[in-house]
Amino acid sequence: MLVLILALALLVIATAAGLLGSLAGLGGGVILTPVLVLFFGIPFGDAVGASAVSVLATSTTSGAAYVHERLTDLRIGNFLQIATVPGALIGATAIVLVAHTSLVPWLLIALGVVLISTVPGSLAMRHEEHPPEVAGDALSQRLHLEGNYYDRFHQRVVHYRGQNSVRALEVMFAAGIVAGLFGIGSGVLKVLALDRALRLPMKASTATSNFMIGVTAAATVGVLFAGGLVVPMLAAPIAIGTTAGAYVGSRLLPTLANRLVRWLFVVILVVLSLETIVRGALSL
Amino acid sequence: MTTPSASETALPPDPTFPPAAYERVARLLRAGVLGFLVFAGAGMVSQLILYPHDTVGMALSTSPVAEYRSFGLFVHDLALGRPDSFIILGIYVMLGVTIGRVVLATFDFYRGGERALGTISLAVVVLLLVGLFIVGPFVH
Repeated sequence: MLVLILALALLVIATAAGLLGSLAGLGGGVILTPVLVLFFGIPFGDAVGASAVSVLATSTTSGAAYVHERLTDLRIGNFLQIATVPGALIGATAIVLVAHTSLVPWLLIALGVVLISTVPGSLAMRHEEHPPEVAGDALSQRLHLEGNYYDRFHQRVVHYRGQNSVRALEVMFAAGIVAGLFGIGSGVLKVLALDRALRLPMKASTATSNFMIGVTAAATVGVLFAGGLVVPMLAAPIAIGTTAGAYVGSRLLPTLANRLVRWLFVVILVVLSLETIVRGALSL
Repeated sequence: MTTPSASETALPPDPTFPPAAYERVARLLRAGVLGFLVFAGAGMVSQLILYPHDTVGMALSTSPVAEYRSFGLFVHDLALGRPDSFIILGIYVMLGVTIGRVVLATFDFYRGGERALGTISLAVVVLLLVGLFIVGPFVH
């Protein structure tokens, strides 16, 4: 296939991935890695490298809008990065070492199972627009892990306090490893940590996740660069497409209801979980 | 009816991250997006115009990224106008902006007297640099 045709196709697909990614707090890489491998026959390692760059693009583009809107919680986002970055370094190192081994399908199946196991918990909160405000745990109180944003949908200021911060750190570390392994932002796990553990409102969760996935991706890309797994003519159209999609998505999110964002997130979560398991099984 | 933006609405103040700090980060990110689009876009379009008959297999087999750990070679290819190198420059811009936003947060935390969070952010910066300059080359 000509690079020209691949580049045009990837521009279109990546735009859709960037739009969905910025709305749901995902990097879009979780959509792009399988597309590159399954539909275009790109080797897994090169697909991971290109996807990681697209995550960087989604995060930078969405982040510019969400930080301006103050939907992103800079305090909580920066705090949790201490768990995701070491995880990403471990994951990226592992994928450079095992990219050409038979372990990859089993890793995919394991990831799919982990993701789908989180669906019931997310569904249980489907009617919740804003989490109840309670006193945070000791670490959250000490570090003032709380914030507020102006909700344009409800036209009021929403205040929240972080809870279960240690649990959130644990999930973030796992998210970092998964991000490094698969070249994805691991936004699914990050949103789960922010939404389910810290109990942030859904829009603050997706916006803060979008901000964080870039830092995780930076750790991943640094290692993948050195490993020779970033192919410029794969990475460029994907990253440019996701930038365009993320720009549109970041204009939409502030105007949506938290419940709608959660539903969108759950639907994407189910589809991606099943797709990841099937992809792993087919590769065995 | 127009909906107010966050800046037009009186949100409770955060001494460490006042509105100006948020705006500073937002500006940095916007600059990163613009820089990436200019460099990577120019590189991609040039590559497609100069080498319209390249196949995907050729693109995969001739990737120069691992060699670009050599700063001299990278600058040399930029000077020659090699499209690949401009795409990589765009990606480096985004990487730099991402590390830069953590550096900004580190300053904001220390300036706000939040030493614990400042030290955490500083550790994240160090880890990112370790990944880029130590772990990556070591794995390679």
